[in-house]
Amino acid sequence: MDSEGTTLRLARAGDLTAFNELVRAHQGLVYGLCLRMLGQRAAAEDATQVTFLTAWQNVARLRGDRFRPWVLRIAASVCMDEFRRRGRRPVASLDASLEAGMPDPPDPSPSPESASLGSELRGRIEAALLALPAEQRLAVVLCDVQGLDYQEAARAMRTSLGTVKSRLSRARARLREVLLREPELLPGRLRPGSGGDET
Amino acid sequence: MMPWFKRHPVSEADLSAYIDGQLANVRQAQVSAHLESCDACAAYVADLRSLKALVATLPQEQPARSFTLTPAQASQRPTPRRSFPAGLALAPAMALALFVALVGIDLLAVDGGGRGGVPEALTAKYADQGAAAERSSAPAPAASGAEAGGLAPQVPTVVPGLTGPADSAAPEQGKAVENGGPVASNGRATEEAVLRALEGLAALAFVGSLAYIILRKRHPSDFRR
Repeated sequence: MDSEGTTLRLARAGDLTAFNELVRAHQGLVYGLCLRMLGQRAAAEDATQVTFLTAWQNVARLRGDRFRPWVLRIAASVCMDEFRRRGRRPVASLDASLEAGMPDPPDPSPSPESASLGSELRGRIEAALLALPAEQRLAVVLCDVQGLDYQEAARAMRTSLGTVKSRLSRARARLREVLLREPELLPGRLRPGSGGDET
Repeated sequence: MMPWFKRHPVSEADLSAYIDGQLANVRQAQVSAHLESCDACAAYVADLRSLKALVATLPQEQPARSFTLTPAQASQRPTPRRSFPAGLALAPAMALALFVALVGIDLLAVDGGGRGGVPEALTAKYADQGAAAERSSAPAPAASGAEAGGLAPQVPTVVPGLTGPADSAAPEQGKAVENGGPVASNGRATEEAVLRALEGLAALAFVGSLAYIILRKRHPSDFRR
């Protein structure tokens, strides 16, 4: 059994220290998902805390040794509950979202990755993501941001592979359409008439 | 925007899954072959790849604090989710059954009840009561006949529609028998009104409980404490 498997076994037996090791290993992933889904740091922090508390309260019932998709599923569920609790449709007006961009200001010390992506373009992508319907956004965040394959994403979303495939396809089509509205921000490959060279 | 997809043997979803390598081998090969001969799909696939790469470069923001649990947090008992009351789950079925039963009684009353939609069972009940009352008042006619109209008008109110034809008020009472009598008419009207009201309440209970269950399923968090 690998190291995480052992830690998980201890956590299942009620070892809080072992569980907190799992928290430290996955908190960036869970927080990233919550932030991309909810768009606000405070809400993302709350959702992350609720996710790990829920995970702790239910870890004894976890079967198998795959903690990551399980905790992501809890996080996705917490985010969807948060949308419902707010009593508003997760699908914001696209134009309003594009005007508003991310509700929180960008990180004052951007990472090299962030710096390589123009801040305006980054804001555009983030706003376009936030304007997607919640289910489509979840598919993009899980597959394209978190790097899960369709099988893992389907588990996290509690849905079928076919649904993941169609939601992701619709989300990408919509993102592409939105980003193409301001082609001057885009790298050459996405610009209309650039020839679409594959990379 | 993309009418060309409708004319193509490859769907937008297939192209999206193709860039992720998530199609079955045969389908992956078919899409690949199609892309060699279709500039529009090839350009779309290139766009999707670029888009995926762009989204993947969004920075993974790190949380400003740790989410490890303290012993106090860990000892919190799970927030009890209100379990779905079994009775509530059965409520729509029970309300529907009640509604159907009431409508059934109503229909039987119309089909078999004869006058005024009152079931035969009800008229038979009145008939039994009337006969009993007639038997119990049997010694009275001599006296009542002697006192003429003093007691006669009271008879129909005591035994609706079932006074004997030999009574002094025979013609009017015969009419009363035909129509079921004024009190019986009022009784039937009341019965019908009660029946309608119960049907309405059952229908309302069915719709209300069903709507509540659907809302609760769709928005569980709104029903938590």
